[in-house]
Amino acid sequence: MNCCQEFRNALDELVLSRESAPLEVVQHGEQCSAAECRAAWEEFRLLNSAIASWQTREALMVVPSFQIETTAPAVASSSANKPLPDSKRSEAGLARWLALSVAGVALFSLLSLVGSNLRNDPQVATVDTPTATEIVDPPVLVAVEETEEGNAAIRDLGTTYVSWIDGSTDRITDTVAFVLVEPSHEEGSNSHTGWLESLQQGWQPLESSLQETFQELLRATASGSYLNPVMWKLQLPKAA
Amino acid sequence: MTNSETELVQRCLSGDAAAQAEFVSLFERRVFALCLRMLNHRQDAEDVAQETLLRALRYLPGWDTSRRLAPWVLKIAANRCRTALSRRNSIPVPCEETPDIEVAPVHVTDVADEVQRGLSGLRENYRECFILFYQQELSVAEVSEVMQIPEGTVKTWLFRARKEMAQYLRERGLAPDES
Repeated sequence: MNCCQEFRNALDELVLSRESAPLEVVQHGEQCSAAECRAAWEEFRLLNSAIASWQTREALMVVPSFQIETTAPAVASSSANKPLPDSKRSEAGLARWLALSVAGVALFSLLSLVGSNLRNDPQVATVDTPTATEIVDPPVLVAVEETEEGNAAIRDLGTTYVSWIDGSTDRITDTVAFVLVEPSHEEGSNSHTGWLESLQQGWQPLESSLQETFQELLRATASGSYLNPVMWKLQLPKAA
Repeated sequence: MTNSETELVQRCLSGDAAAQAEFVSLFERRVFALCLRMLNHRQDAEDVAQETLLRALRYLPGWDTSRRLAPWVLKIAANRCRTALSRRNSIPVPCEETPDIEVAPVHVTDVADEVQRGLSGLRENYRECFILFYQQELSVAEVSEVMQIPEGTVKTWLFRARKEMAQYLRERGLAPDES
C-alpha cells in the first residue's frame, strides 16, 4: 500500500473521530511530494475550516420559541398508553363486563317484549271481540308521538294488512263453501257430506264473528282513531 | 440514556406540564436547526419542528429507555422532514440557488453562507447525513439509527457529501489559506 492510500485512510479516520490531526499527519500532508497526498491534505483543511465556520454560525441560529399548547391531550394520550397496574386493570375489566352484561340484559328484555307483542297480536285481532270498555281502556303506548304523517302511514299499513287478512278469510270461506256444494262421486260420500255440513255449521259463528271484527277494524282504520289495526286494543290518546 | 433524561421522561409521562416545557426547551433548538437545514425554508421548518416536538411528547411512552433520547427525537424530526420534502417535491419550483459557472471571489466571512449553499445543492440523503453528523454532531452509529441505514452507508454518504462540498467550495474560489 502506498503512502497516499495510508494518508487518505488516516484523514478519513480523523473525520469520523472528529479529532484534530496529529503532528505526523500534518507533516506528511505538507511535505509529501506526491500530488495526491497534497490534494487530499488541502481538501481536508478546506473542509475543516469551512465546516467550522458553518457550525459557529449554526450555533448562533435564532430559534423561535415553541409552545406546545396541546399538552393535556399529549399527556392524556401518553398516560393512556401506559399499562395499568394489575389491580386497576382487573377493576376496569370488571366494570367493563358489568356494563356489557347490563346492556345485554336490557337488549334481551327489549327484544323479548317486542317478540311477545308480535306473537300476541294475532290472538287479539282474531279471537277477542271488542267492547266499548276495552276500546276506551288507557293506552299502553304513551310515549309514541302522534303526527299526521305518521298516522297516515299507519292507516295505510293497517288498511293493507286488514284487507289482506279479509281476503284470506274470504278465500277460506269460499273454499269451504266450494267443498260443501261440490258433489262427491266416491263411495261413502254421504258420510263426508254430513261431516262437512257439521263443519260448516261450526264455522258459521266463527265466520260471522270474524266478519264483524274485520268490519269493525276497517271502520276504525278508516276513521284513523287507532294506532294499529292489529293492536286495536292499544288506543293512542290524542295529543292535547 | 442518562438519569436526567429518564427522570425528565418520567415526569412528562406523569403529566407534569413543567417537565413537558423543559422537554421542548431541551430539544427545540436541535430540532429546529435540523428542520431548517433539511427543508431550507424557515416557515416550513417551524411547522415541522412544532409537529416533531408534539409527536415526540405524544409517543414518549414508546421510547426505548436503553437508547439516548436525542437521536430518537431527531429521528422523528428527520422523518417529518422527509415527508415534507416528498410533498414539496411534487410541486415544481424555480431553482434559484444554482451556482454560477463563472467563479466569483468569495469573502472569508461568506464561507458559512457558501457551505450552506453547497449543502442545498447536495442530494437529499447526503445532505441529511452531513447535517446529522456536523450540525447535530451525532456519531456514525447514531446517524445510522436516525436514517435507518447501515453504518457503512452512513460513512459512504458522508464522504461523498464532503467530496461534493469540497468541489463546490473550490469552484467558488475558496482555498484553505483563505478560510
